[in-house]
Amino acid sequence: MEEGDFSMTYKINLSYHLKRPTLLFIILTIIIVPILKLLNIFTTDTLIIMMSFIGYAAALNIIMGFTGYVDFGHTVFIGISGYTYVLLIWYLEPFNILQHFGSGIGALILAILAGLVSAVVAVLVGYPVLKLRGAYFAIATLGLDFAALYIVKSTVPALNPSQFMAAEIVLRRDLIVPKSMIFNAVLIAVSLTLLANYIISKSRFGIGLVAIREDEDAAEDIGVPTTKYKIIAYSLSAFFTGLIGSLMILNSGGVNEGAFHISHSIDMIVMLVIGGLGSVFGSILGGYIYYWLYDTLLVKFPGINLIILGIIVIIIVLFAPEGITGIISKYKIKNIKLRDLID
Amino acid sequence: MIDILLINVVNGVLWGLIIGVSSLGLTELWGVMKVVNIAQGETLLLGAYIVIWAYTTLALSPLIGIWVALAIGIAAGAIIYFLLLHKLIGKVEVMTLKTEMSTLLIMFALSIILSNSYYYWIGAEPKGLGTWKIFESTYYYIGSLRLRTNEIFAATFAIILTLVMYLFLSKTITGKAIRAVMQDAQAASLVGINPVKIKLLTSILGIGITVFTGFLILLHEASITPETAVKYAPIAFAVVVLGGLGNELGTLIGGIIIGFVYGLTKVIISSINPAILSDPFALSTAFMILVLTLLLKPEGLFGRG
Repeated sequence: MEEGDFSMTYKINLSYHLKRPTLLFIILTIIIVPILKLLNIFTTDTLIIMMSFIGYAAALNIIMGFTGYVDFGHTVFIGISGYTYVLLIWYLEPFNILQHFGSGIGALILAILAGLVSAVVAVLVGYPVLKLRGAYFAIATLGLDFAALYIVKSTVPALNPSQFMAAEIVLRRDLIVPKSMIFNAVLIAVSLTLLANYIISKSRFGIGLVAIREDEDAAEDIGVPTTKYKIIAYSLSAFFTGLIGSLMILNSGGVNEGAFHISHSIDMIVMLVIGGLGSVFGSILGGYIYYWLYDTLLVKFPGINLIILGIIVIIIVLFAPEGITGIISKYKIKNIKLRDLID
Repeated sequence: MIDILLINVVNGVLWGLIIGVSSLGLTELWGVMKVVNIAQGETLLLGAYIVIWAYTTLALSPLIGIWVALAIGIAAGAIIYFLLLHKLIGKVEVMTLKTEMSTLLIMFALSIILSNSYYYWIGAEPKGLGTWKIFESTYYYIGSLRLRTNEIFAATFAIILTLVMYLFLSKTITGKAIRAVMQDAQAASLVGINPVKIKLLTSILGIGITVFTGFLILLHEASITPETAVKYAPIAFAVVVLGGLGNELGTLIGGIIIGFVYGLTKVIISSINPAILSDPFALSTAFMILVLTLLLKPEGLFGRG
């Protein structure tokens, strides 16, 4: 099989794609959030976190959903991009980038740079590791996360510009970052992630990834350049995780080694499993549901909320491996198969 | 300088023996069943917490407590197999990527459940054997090298347990059956080995040994918190990959190598730049070794067991 030229397939099929329910759902998600903000139904902070959840799920979906490679250490890219982002702000802010391109564009540009750093790391690590199959990749990602964590823990205190002894870098005190600016940047970043997901799911590249997930030997036999596709998928996934992660770091006002904590990976994986692996619709749904679940469980069962989430994951993996998307797509309403609606 | 180097390297190797032996269960599960126990760290802590519990509430000596831990570990292995793994891998002879991914997610969920259970029911504060000073009280001196009794005990324990495991798996009929399933489950079932039985046995053996060796972590760390799991689980993966899947002696040697490099890096880093915290940096070498092994010799230094 020759390499896919997926930009061409799109232009030709634009009218087809505009009728796809998933794309409409993505657009709806993108439109509804600013409306919720204008109507003051949720606070800006809540919406930022909810958006970031959806974005994380969609970013991880590229490697874990489409390609089927479990990634336990994906939070490493939040960490790498987060540290890069804060350092970029420290050293580039004399040029007033955040303020100069107000309304979030400056924040977004810096986040894209930080995301690119993650993508480069992903290529460097993915190149050796993605030649292997299955569990090795999961283990290597976990290893990467801890290696990065320990290196940051040991070296950052020695070169910390914000004059703290620990591995925590905070933003300069005189820097004012309004929430609405972060909101805009996160909204654009998450929209980009969702659209990229949709584009991949409909492209030849995406079909190649799904072929790898279903049977890697067979995919290789029919000419899918598996290693190359896997590396591209991994670095795209890393880029979007870093993009959203660094904006969330900006939101929290500074970065510390907690950015590498496995709890972020838990969030991402649980969302994706609940929503349904390998489906764009699933990652959006998973993001919403997880946010709601997380919030409710935290209030109603403080302390054991994550235990309940763990049990939910086990039940889903054993009895509904395709998540909520899989359950929904079995039913139909008035002769309309719901499977078609979430395609 | 030589003294510091010697002390650090010897301590690193002693620690390496502990991480090597505590990875035995992981290497069995991974090698035989292709199930990577992501909850490795939490399983180890289970053993350590049982020993602490037996000591503080039942007033049992930790030397008896480890047998309680082993019993609970065996039960846990059976429960984990029937509750979580049997539906996924019980009847499967050749694991596909999808099944492997499902087992990874299941074990990951188990690690979330266990770790948060520790936080909720035991608490985040450090727990240890407190008043039990048998191993802390005496030292042995070899030249300028001072060794604690508990470290010598842990090292001896590690070597003996590894040898027992090795002999069990290579000399007994049951052990040979486990090896046979590891090499080719399909062929093994053709010659009359019941793969489900072997998988159950492996799960019991793997989880049981891991819980059993949790005590050694306690000996080394003196006190543990639920966060200790986060330090030990990833290192165990590096040890197993380096030593070769299902290779018991290789795993112990893998542990020694990682411990040796850890000790060496610690000295080198602190002599190059004292501002860099040497301990976390030295820990990161384990993962560099992991990625290098995957890159250069994915079957491990000593091949499969």
